[in-house]
Amino acid sequence: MLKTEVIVIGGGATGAGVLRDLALRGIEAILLEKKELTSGTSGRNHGLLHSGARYAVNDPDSGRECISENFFLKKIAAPCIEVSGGFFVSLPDDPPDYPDKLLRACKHLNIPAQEISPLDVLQKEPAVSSKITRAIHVPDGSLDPFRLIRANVEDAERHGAKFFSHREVIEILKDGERIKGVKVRDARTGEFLQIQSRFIINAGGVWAGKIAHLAGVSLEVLFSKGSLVVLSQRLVNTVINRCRPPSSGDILVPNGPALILGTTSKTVEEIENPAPDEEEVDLLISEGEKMVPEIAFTRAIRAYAGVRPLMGAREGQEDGRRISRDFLALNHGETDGVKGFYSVVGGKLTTYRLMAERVVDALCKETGNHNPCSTAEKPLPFPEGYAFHDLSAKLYGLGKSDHSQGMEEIFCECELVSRKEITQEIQNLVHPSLNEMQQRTRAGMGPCQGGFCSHRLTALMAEAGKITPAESLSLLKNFLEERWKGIRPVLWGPQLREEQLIQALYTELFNLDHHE
Amino acid sequence: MTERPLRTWGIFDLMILEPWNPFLFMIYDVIVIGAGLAGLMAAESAASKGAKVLLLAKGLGSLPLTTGCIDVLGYFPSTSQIPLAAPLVGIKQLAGHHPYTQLGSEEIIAALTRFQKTIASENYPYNGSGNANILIPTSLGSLHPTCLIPETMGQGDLSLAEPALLLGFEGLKDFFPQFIANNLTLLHEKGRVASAFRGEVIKRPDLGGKATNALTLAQAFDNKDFRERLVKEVRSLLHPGERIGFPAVLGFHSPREVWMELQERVGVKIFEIPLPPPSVPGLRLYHLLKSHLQKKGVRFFVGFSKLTPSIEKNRIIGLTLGEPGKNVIYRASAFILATGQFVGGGLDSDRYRIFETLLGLPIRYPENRKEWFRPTLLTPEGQPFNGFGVEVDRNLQPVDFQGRIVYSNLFAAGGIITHADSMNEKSGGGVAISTGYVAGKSAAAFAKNH
Repeated sequence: MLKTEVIVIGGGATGAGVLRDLALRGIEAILLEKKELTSGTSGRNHGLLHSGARYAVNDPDSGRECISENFFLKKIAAPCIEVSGGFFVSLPDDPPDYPDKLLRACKHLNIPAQEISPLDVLQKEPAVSSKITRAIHVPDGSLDPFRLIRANVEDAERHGAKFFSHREVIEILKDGERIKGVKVRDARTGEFLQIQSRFIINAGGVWAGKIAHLAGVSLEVLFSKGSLVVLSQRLVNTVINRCRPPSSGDILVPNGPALILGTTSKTVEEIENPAPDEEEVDLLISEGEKMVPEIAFTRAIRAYAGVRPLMGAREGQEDGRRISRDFLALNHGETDGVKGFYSVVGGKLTTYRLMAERVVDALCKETGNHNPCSTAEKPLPFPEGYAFHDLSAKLYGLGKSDHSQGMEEIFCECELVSRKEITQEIQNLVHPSLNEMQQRTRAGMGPCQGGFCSHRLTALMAEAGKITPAESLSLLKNFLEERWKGIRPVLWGPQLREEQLIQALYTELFNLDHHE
Repeated sequence: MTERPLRTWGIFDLMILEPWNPFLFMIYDVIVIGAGLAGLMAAESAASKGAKVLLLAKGLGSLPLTTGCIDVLGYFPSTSQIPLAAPLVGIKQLAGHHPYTQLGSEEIIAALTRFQKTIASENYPYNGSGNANILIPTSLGSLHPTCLIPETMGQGDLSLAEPALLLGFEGLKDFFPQFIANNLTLLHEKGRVASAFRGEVIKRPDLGGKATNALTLAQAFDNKDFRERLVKEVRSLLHPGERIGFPAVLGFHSPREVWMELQERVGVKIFEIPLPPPSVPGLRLYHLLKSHLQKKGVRFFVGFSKLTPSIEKNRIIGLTLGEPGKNVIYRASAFILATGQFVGGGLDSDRYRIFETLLGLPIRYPENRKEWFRPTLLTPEGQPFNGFGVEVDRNLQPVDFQGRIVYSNLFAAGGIITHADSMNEKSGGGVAISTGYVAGKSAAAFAKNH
């Protein structure tokens, strides 16, 4: 039977952060994820590196955590962060007292916020509406959540930890009041497996309540669905926030070659397969247009939704906006009498590292491990040559290389991903997944959303022996169905035109609609 | 560029115009709008009736986006998993409003025959007839039922029992021979395909420093030396008793000669497999039909950004490239709208509506954008938006929701006509050819009488 010291449940930012923290402190650990890395909320957000200013007024604790983590992440994860800075901009209809409130609150929390003149904003960001009345600069940024989280897992693995995807915990085993291990189901083979451990850290995000229930612990998590829209062009190079209390459509994040419009907020009961609808898309676009009018004429290439796990009272929460974005790290041995069981829930992507530190600190206190946390100092590992938002660098490189040779090796024309990059990453795949290939290489993340390259990726995976012929076309079909969910709400104008061509490719040419 | 003031045309301008310039002949019997298969067939059939025809198109038309094969009806009902054996039998069972039903079998047969005759006269014959579907391999290793195929694809018929070797080219992105062969062999094991397949890659084809893609390969195949060098390598890869499948890149200008010569020199049967766009067989078809039509006296004006119709009561009197009053107006007795759907540019949309782009013809569509699509993508029921278009009567004249003819001298052909989802029923080419053929005839007859 497999045996370890700590089992971490949940392959999101928190779980990955916890695994790395444990590994760096020399504690043996296994991370279990029921689907793939980042397939939950961690892969369904706007990739914002918070400065904390968004929470400064109403949620100062979160604001304080965000700014200190903002500083640490820029140190340890620089390659996957773009230090773009952010503006809070006031439009004529926005509450006139909010900018001053924001400035005061930021000063109190030591968030470097500085008022600048609207004219200076327009000079730096000409696409921003000329109607803005005031503007405040803050140290917001953007990050690549997929790469950040993968880097945490890879670093943990280098230090002896293990990660298993597609393993769902279906039972938590106890010896009296003491944790003994877990029973997991392999989602791909259907086989069951037991793993022994002295401790469990529940980092299940929106599923944390369910996991706690398996241990006989009650943990109430509130669910708030947030939808986002991806535009095909950045339009701005700075994060643009609406200078008013948190609301739908109040943020634009330039992320890689795209612009992400966020976010709606609605408390929900259903947490599986969150999907945006047409009304949310229309709302985000019409609110976004007010800050950057060009949005009205820019192609929306995808919409998606994630569910935030929030800690707080359920009563009277229509949209979950007033609940703190703070997190909890719980030792259920102390609070519920289940020894060896810990939960860490709530928080933000920006604060994942701090959450991990807190819960591992608590665990170390129990075990008497005195190794200090080092995740805030030690840089994360990134693949050689990796750079976030390197489209222009890639284009420059292509121009310098022998043009003809360069272009023919480009397998994803939108994001300029070469055959070499793809075949390299295929070697790193444990389980064949087009989704993971996208996240690893950005292939298929551009305007056509993999419409013209996913069959190439499938063929390369098959030729590398990662999938059998029998699997290949069903893998491709499943990918196309997932893709469809994200693009359906944004199909109109040029995007609809391109989609008809892509459908012709898969139906008229490949006849996949009649393929068994 | 826009600095120059606009001015009217003077005699000097007319003198320097090249002889092919359509400005010299501004009054026509029939003007066809659109250079896809429907538009080209409409021009062919109108010109065959003696009409003076002008074809206007914003761009190349959508043939380079197709396989070059003519699907007539692949599945009926469209949800069926089994390809239809005979398209012409399936057509008789289609719903009453389907464009095929409007036309009737006789016209469809006549249209397909006319297409085959026309293209054969350009030394690029198509095999097959409406009486039978042929199963051909796709470049993904799945099956595609189609009806008329270029002779150069004929030996790819999946009912043939000889084993096949698929040959790809290093650097060609959309043709992975081993992958395709493995998928087809799997279908062979399931009894769906008569023979087994295997794949090999030809290393670094010598394209004189050009990037490897379908277009550069096709150009290379037009070159005798390139073929000569290739034949040796192909022979060395071949096992006895095999036929050979290439990606559809065997030459642009004289594909039939290239194909026949290769078969002769290698000594085995050879076939082409269609690739994703840009499609060489689609481009061949476009250029051959265009040159055929030009020989027949049809004039082409391809490549402009704006077309403005001039309307008098319920009649179209002409079309202007650009703004009316500032530019020349092309007049005709009858007009054929063959602008396609969204890809072709005949239809467009915004967040709230679908519209016909040239004349604002009435289009029926659900108000809620959600209902333009289905929750699943690859459903044999098809996506509603692929069936959107203009309603027509039996003469292929666009009608409004009450069934009244919108413009007395307007006809429609191809994808712009509603009630045919060519993608899931696999009928695109057949609908284009037959509606083009009939619209061309009707428009020519209309022009003669008015």
